[in-house]
This record gives sequence, structure tokens and C-alpha cells, in this order.
Amino acid sequence: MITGFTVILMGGVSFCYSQANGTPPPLDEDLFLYKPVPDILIDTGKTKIQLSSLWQERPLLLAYVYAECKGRCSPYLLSFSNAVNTIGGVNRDYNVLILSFDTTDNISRVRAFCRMAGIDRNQKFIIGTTNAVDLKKITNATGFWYKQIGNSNQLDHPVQITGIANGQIRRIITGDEVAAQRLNEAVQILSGYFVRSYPMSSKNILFRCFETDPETGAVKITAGAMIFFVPAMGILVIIFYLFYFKNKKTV
Amino acid sequence: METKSKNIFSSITLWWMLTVIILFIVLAFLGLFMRTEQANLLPGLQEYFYSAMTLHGIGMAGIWYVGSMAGVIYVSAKYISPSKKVQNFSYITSVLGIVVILISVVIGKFAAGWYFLYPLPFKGTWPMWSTVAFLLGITILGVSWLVWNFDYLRAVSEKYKLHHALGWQYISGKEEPVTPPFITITTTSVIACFAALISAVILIIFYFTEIGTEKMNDALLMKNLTFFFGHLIVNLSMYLGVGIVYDVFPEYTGRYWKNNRAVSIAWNFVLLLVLFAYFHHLYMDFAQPVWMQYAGQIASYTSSIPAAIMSIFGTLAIVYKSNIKWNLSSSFMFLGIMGWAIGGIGAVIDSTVAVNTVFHNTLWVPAHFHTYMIAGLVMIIMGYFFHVVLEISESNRNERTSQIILGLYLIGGYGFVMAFYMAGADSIPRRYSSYGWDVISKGPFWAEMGLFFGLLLFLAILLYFIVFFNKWKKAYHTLQ
Amino acid sequence: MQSQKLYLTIFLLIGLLIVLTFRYISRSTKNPNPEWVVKKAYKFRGILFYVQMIVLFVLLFFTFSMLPYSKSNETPNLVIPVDAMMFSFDIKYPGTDSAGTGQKPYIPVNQLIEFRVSSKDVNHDFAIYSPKGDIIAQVQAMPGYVNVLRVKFTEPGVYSALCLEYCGMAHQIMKTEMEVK
Ligand code: HEM
Ligand SMILES: [Cu+2]
Ligand SMILES: [Cu+2]
Repeated sequence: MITGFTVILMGGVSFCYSQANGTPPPLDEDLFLYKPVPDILIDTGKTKIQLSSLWQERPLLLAYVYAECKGRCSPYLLSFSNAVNTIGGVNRDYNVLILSFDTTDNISRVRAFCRMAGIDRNQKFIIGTTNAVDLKKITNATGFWYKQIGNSNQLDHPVQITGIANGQIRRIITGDEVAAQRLNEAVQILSGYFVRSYPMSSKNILFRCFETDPETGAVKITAGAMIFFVPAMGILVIIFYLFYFKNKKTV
Repeated sequence: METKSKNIFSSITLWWMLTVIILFIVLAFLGLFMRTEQANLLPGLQEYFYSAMTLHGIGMAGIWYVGSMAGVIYVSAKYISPSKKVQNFSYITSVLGIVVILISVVIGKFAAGWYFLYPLPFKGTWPMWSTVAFLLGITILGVSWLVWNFDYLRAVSEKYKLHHALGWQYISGKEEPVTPPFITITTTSVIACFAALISAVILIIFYFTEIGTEKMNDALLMKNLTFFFGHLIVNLSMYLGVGIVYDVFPEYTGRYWKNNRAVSIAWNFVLLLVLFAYFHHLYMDFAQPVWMQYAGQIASYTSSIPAAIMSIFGTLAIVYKSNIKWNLSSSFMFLGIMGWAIGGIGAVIDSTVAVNTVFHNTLWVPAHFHTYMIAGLVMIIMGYFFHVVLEISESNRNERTSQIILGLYLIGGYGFVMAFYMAGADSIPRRYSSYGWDVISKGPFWAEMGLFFGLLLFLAILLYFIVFFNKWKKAYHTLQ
Repeated sequence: MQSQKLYLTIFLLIGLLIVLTFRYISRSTKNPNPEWVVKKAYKFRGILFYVQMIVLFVLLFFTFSMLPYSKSNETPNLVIPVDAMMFSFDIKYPGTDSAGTGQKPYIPVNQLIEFRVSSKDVNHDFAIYSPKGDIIAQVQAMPGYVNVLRVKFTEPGVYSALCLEYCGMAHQIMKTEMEVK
């Protein structure tokens, strides 16, 4: 309950932030597709690893956060971790790296932040920091940006999941929330499967047409899908009214 | 012919018929204009192409729907009693809707095509008011036709129980009570029509929501709604026309079309299938779930079975070695069924997903629907209209010019659609005001061919009008 | 035979058959036979029903193996995003920047190419024409969606892409070219 409330509140705050700063145009994924990702050094606390070691065996999903964030990071992380839980397969089909983009962050603070945002230990996410030079390289390569808000310790930044396979960007998911279905498609694309179509993140849509259940692949009954039943229901109502209500007695 | 007790819809039907035929001439002229434009014979009028296309498309789809519906009402008076007031209401509101659409297209230059695929109406070069006016016109037509259909179903319900109207007694093996096939066909079609009109209403509501709020619509959802409505309304016009043939044709052959198990099963089946066939408009939308694409092909294929086995075969059987009186009406109706069959083949071929990859949105599409319209429904309705003016004016059925009209119409009509088919097989796109690129350089040639045969067709239509209008005046005076 | 011509031929043959049938039937009325009743045709109708069912279901089965969406899970050799907008296509060859410096980009022949097609404004359609002018593949470009079209170009040459969904007053000029070598 309380968490839910804070999430909403934080969402509201981040919304106001982005409004106040004039929302920059959303990232154009196309400009980054199949571009190489620099092989930077990641500090995971215990060890230092090369980023390339994370995409060697399986694709990699990369998310950016920073530990002091009072805005969109935590609701975003929560939706991301929920989506990952729904589709499953971390460490088997893909790796997940949560990378801090605040060079003053230390690894334990970032960890603590992730725990608070709902990512638990046995989810096998890799959490790491990196140095300023490498950070610049990776954010440039993936189209990520951030800037300080006034004199505060808060940073303005977009949210995105970058999908990497064989050292190249194959998909970038934007949008304020990570839907399991989007993540599932991304993982399939990264693994080289043929995905016929996927929706781009877009807010402000009245009704979405189809959403498929990432686990079963079946089309879910969303508000959008319900609309197809309206004409059928309309027919039934009219028929019932005319034939059984208004003219009960006809032979 | 024997004088029947006066049909109470004689007068309104006369007005419907005259309106439809006159609008048909105007709209056919716009069609010729488009073909001329595509043949590069009228440089300088390019910018009017898409407005003409929009008006031609919505106009034709509209008039042949109301043409069939008005015909159905006239026939139905034999069995049931629709309200006369509603008929007048539908007539007036339909005309009003057409006027509003005319204003939107002619003055406002609205040109988003007849099914105004979202979000184009909002993104065009025309002013916002013309989009609003167009949507308003569609709304008026939608409401008008909803009322019309509702009243028809009401009239059916006063005479028949639902399962009898649908002919289920035959399906369960009984012969009683008797339901004429006309009632079964029109009842199923009108029920499906509700689905189409309701989805049009939803579509319009979504458009107006977008105008009124910041919300956007999902392009895929809108496309589904658009084609559900568009496909249904055009197909149902055809079914209504076929219903008329079932009822009127026996007057010429002397053999009667009885309702039986096969007829009932076929038409109930059609009602179900026609709701899913529209999926074939979205084959190239990979965002559509795959099962819908499969369902689309299955529904499109199977919906051809009742049509071929019952209606087309039935027409042939009823004519075979009969003592049929051939005249303008009966020939037009008989050949209309043939055009329906041929256009249907073109449609079934294109409803194969694998074929659609190369035919989608080429001129193959207008080719097949112009076949079952020009050579199908239009022939049926023109034949039937002639039948009605003869009946009302109590004139004899022999018309010396009918051979000429028929010959010109067939050569012109089939030549005209052939030019579309050939162009479609040459990958020429539909809805191009001109074919300027090398890869589609055969386009203008086929446009010229189309224009040539189109002119013959136009001539036939004019001749028909002269003959028809003659009888129409007579009929008008008979009623006074 | 190139596929479009094959479909046209099938259409013309069946069309001819229909015309001949109608002609035969209308000719038969020259010698009317009042003895003949429609019921006699029922048996024939039954046969026709089964024939049509069988033909259609064989065709269904056969053509379902040719769907453009059920391609194998081969990894494509090249992924090319395509953005359609009023009234042009923006083909974003990988490895080229928007400044368009360096050599002209091309598409390798006989390799699996994946086009990720989307639209920035209204519905468009990305239809690929062979140098000879035949459509070889197409997909709708829908705003809000990325549709993935996989193509293997088996012959080199200059291919064109035209827009096949009416998108406004200049729809007919919307075109781009792609070199395959
Ligand atoms: C009588 C002569 C007719 C002529 C000369 C004619 C001509 C044309 C032409 C040239 C086009 C544009 C094709 C393209 O490039 O896409 C067209 C489109 C169309 N026609 Fe006709 N046509 C005729 C009759 C009919 C009839 C009877 C109908 C009945 C429903 C009809 C309905 C349509 C529709 C719905 C469109 C599509 C409009 C659009 O794409 O928005 N036409 N016609
Ligand atoms: Cu376009
Ligand atoms: Cu276009």
C-alpha cells in the first residue's frame, strides 16, 4: 500500500520534472541499431569485469540508474524487475546489468537503492558502476543522457533498456514502464528469433489493440480487445429487445 | 403483367431509384475523370484526383448500399410491414448526409479516401473543419441507416420468431412454418449490418474523442474497426441484392426458390463468416496476431462456398431449360450473378495471404470489387429497378434498346475491369493519381484501356438512364 | 512463370469457365423443358460442394506454408530500419551516419535482410519492386508499430520501394531506391 503510494508519488514528481524541463524528444532507436557497444570496465564491488564478458554467452539487457534518484529510477526499476520476473530466464537466456550513471555513486549504495526499489538478491541481476571516461563512452553509444537539476543532487535523465547482442545494440526499449511483453520481444530479437512486429512505446493511447500474454502467447483481453465485442453485444441486445421483449407473443 | 395490389412503398422507392441512378452517373463520371488523370491525358487537374477518389468511393459504396436496401424494402412489403415514416426519414437523412459529405469534399477539399484510414484525416492538407464535416456526414448516414435497419428488423420480428426468420426450422428438419428465403437472407444481412454500423459509430466516437482531448488512438485498433465496417457494408449490399434476386427472379422463370435446409444453413453460415473475412484487409499488418491472418484466409475461402453452391448454382438451376422471359431486367439480374461469381474469384485469389503479398493495394483490389459491383450488384439493382418501374407503371416488358444497352454494358464493363486486373498483375499500385516512376511505367497504358472501355460503359449507363427515366416518368404519373 | 502472371492466368481460366457455364445455361432456355425440376440438380450440387471444399482446403493447406510471417529463426545478416513519412522513406543503413559521407550504401545480394519498418505520421506501406517492376515483398508501415520484413535479394540490381498505402496528396511520389550487389 505504502509502496504503491510512494511509487505513484515518485511517478508524479518525475512527471513534473520532465514537464518543467520541457520533455526532450524520445530516443530514436533507429539511430543506434547495430552500432557497436564499447567494451568498458564494470566494477561490481567484488570484481572488475569487462562488459564484453556479459554479452559473450548470451544477450545483455542494460538499464541505467543512480542511487540518489528521487524521481523515475525506482518506479522504473520496479516495473523492470516485475517484467523480468514475468518472462523469466535471467542468467539463462540473457544477462541483466544495472549500471549507475552517477560517478560519485559507490557500489553498495547502488545495491541498497536497487533493493529498495524492489530488486532482490536471487534475481541474479548484475549491479555495477564504472569510471567517468567509460561512462561517457557507453552513454554516448547507447543514446543515454543526464544533466544536473539546478544545484541539487538530482539528475534529469530518460529511462531506457538497451538490448545488446554480440556487442551491438539490437533493440532499445523506451517508455516510462517496462511491459513484460516488450521485454519478451526484445529478448527474442536479441536471441535472433523472428519477431514480426512490436509496438513502439507511446503514451496517451486511448485503447491498445492487442497485448499478448508473454507466458502463454495468447492475446489478452484488454480494453482494446473488448471493443470488438461491442458490435456483437449490440446485435444481441437489439435482437433480444425486438424478438423476445417487444414481440413475445408472435407465432 | 397482372396488376398487384399497390405497394405502399412505390412512391418512396421511385425517389430512391431516381436518386441512386442520377448519383451513379455523376460518380461514374468522376471515375472516368480518375482514369483520364491516370492516363496522363489531363495534366493540370492532378490536385483534384484524391478528392474525386474520396467522393467516388464513399458515394458508390453508399448509393449501392441504399439502392439494395431500398429494393429490399420494396420487396419486403409482400411479407412484412416496415414503417413508412422510417423510410422517409432514412431517405431525407441519407440525402442530408450526402450533402454534408459533398461540402466537406468539394469545398473543404477533404481527400482521405472513402474509408478515411486513421490518422490520415487529421494529417492532411485540408482544413480541420472539412474533416469534422466529413465525420459528421458519416455520422448522419450511420444514424440514418441504423434506424432503417432497426425498423426492418422490427418489422420482421412482428411477423416471425427469430429462429423462424433465420430458417432454423428447416435446419432441424421441419418444413413448417414457411419462411421465404428472402426473409432469411435479409434478416441475416441486416443483423450483420448492425455490427457494421455499430463499429462505425465506435470509430466516429474515437475520432471525436481525439478531436476533443489530448488522447491518441491506436492505429491498429482503428484500422480493424475501419475495415470491419467497410468490408461488411460493401459485402452486405451484395447479399441484399442477392436476396432480391431470390425473390424476383422466379417471376421470370416460373420456378420458385424454396427455403430448405441447405439454403438456411448456407445463409446462417454466411452471417458468421462475413464477420471475420475482413481480416484479409490486414494481412500486410504484421502487428495483427497471426491467428487472425489464418482466420482471415479460412473465413474468406469458406464464405465462397455458400455463395457458389447456393446462390450461383441456384440461379443456374432455376434458369436451366426454364421458360424464362428474357428482357432487360432478367438479363441484367442473371448476368449480375455471373459478375458476382467472377469478382468473387478475383477476391478469393487475393484473400490468399501468399498472393496478397504481391497484390495488396495494387489495382487488383479495385479490379475485383469493381467486378462484383459494376458487373454484379449494379447489374442486379439496375435490372431490378427497371423491373420496379415497369411494375409500377404497368408497362409491358419489351424494350427494343435492351440488346444494345446490354451489349455495350458488358463490353464496357468487363473491358474496364480487365484493365484493372492486367494492371494489378503488373504491380501497378491503386490510388495513384499518376504513374510517374519507371517501375510502374505500364500504368498509363492500362489507364487508357480502362478509359476507353469505361467510356463505352458510361454510354451504356446513359442509354439505360434514358430508357429508365422514360418509364420512371410513366410510373410517377401512374401514382399521381 | 512469375507469380503475378500465374495468379492472373488462374483467374482468367476460372473466369472463362464461369462465362461458358452461364452461356450454356442461358442457351438452354431456347428449348425449355417444363418437366425438368430444380430438384434434379441437387445431386450435382452435392458433388460440386465436395469438390469445392476439397479444392479450397488443399489450397489452404498448401498456401499456409508460404506466409510472409512464418520465416525461420535464421539470424539476419543485416538489419535496416526504415522510417516512412509524408512523403519519403528514410532507409537507415547501418554504418552510415545521417551526414551520408563515405561510399554509397548498398544491400548485399543473397543475404537475409531484415527491414524494421515504421511510420512517423500516417499509415504507409513499404513495397519492394524488382528492377523489372514486379512487387516482391511488402509490409505496412503503421505509426506506433515496428513491422519486420525479411527479404533475400537473389539478383543484383536497383530495386525500388514505393508507398502502397494512400497517405495524402503526394502519395504517388513516395519512392526510394536500393542498390543490391
Ligand atoms: C461506372 C464506372 C466506374 C468507373 C469508371 C470507376 C472508376 C474508378 C477508379 C479509376 C478508381 C480509382 C482506382 C485507383 O486508382 O485506386 C475507383 C475507385 C473506387 N471505386 Fe469506382 N468506378 C466505377 C464504378 C464503381 C462502382 C459501381 C462502385 C461501387 C461500389 C465503385 C466503387 C469504388 C471504390 C469504393 C473505389 C475506391 C476509392 C478509394 O480508394 O478510396 N466504383 N473507381
Ligand atoms: Cu506513404
Ligand atoms: Cu503513400
